[in-house]
Amino acid sequence: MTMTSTRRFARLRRLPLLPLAMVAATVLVALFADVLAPHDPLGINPAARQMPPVFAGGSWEHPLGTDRLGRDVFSRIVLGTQISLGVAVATILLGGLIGTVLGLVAGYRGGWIDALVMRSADGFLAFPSILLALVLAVTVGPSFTVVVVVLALVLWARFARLVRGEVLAIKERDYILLARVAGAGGAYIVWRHILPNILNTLVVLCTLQVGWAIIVEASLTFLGAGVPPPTPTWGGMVAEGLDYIESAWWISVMPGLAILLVVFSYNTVGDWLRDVLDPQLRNV
Amino acid sequence: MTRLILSRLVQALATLLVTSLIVFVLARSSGSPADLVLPTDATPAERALYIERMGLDRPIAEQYLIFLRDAVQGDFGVSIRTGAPATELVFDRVGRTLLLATAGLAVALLISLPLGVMAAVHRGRGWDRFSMGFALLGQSTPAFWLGIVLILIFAVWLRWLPSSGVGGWQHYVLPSLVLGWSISAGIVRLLRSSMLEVLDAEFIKLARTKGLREPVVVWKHALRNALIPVVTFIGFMYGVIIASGVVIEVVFGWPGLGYLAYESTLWRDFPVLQLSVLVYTAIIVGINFLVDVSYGLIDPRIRT
Repeated sequence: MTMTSTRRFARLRRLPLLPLAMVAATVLVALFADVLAPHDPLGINPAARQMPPVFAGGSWEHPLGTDRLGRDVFSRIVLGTQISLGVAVATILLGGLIGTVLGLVAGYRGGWIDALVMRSADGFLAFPSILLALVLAVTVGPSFTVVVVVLALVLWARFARLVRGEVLAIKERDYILLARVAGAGGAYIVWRHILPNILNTLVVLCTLQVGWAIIVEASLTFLGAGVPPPTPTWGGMVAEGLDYIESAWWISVMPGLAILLVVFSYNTVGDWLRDVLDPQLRNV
Repeated sequence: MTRLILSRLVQALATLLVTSLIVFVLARSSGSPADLVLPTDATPAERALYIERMGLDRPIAEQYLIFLRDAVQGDFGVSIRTGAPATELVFDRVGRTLLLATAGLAVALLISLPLGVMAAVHRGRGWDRFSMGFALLGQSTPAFWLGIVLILIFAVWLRWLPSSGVGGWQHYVLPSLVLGWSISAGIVRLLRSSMLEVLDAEFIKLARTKGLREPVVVWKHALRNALIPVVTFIGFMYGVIIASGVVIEVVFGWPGLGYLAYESTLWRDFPVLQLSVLVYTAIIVGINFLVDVSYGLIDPRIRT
């Protein structure tokens, strides 16, 4: 009794309040970006070009400074949240759904389906997705959809591998065998008895992949293979500032700092969720 | 063992073939590949000649076979930008990319081996917290941005190191540091959990009972066994480092394969981009093949 209550207390004490608040804040900022941005993120202002942030001698008018066209960096970071979170959510929905379904089928059915799914998963995990994105940027043109498809091509494999492993561990348990003896069909067993048991694992994996998706999306956009300008994106802003790094470092540094803070928060929350929901899960 | 090698070889070749097919289909899906491959000022006669030579008026399956035939003979077309054969441009760059990736891997090992071991030995205490915090921070940092920040600090402000290009060893410091940092997190986490498992094993208890000194137990007996799963992961990470090097090469103006691929994207130089992608895939698939086979040599249990 004392043991469990101290443990529960330790868990509560470890509740990552600040990261959780950050996660909630990013969602709110993404939803209400248009209202929250103090300036028009696309508003060019020649009179206010390359103004430094407030802590480097600038003014509160542009707290994080302005870029080479006089656009407000803070407002552009606020708007950039939409693309970063949007891509992450779309990717995880698409890749997670496909990967989970294939992982369930592969794990439950076994045999050649299992071999085929797992070998393809290995192949997709090894495939250099950045280069595929470059090819797509040249052939079909860079876009939101391209980024989501490229990320989902890698992500489904991670989900499939993890889900398959879980299914293999669960499917020999007594209650599954009992359900089978009772005449339940494969689809019914997977849906009613296996899927609910791996939901915690799925939640943890989804959370931990948000940060990954945001970083890869930013990398692709940095290379010009993501959502093209003038839409404000974090990776695109870092790229735009690269040529002005000596005179106006904040153009690149500030949006990158936003990525770091947001991804760090999601990863911290993901780690905490894993410890709480699924302590056996490691290295995902 | 032969069976393992053969099956992995078939799998590697299949991956390469599928990649070439994907790139091929993408090139066809965006309208006529003549627009992608020929310069914009090509004459109608040049166009007609290209369509004739590549068989663009024939069924798509036949076109793919023509592409494969040329590829086997080492003909991947010429660069739209420079007119030189794509193979020449690409193979000129491979060495520098591999060098940088290897330097990055060396940095990653220098960082992550001590941290991983110390975290496991001092589980739950200072070192462990530090290592896990480091891993969390490492996984949360966008590598291209870290590169820019390091350029800002060490090249622009302090003027200690060059910001871009190749030259002496100084040019390796920043890019290999960023590459190494970017994969250290994964190695630290894996090594930590592997070490924790090994430190619990009977033979470690025996070594301690025998009166061996603790550093010998940890760094010799335990680490050696804990490294087995890590070695596979490191092989896999070498592939990751090579692929993620694309962004780092762009940040540091490193004239490797990744920078070439990036430039080809800007110039819409499709033949060069296509070959870069294929070479990247071949390198990564090759590394994974070697890792799988050597793992089979180390651990007989997976020779099936």
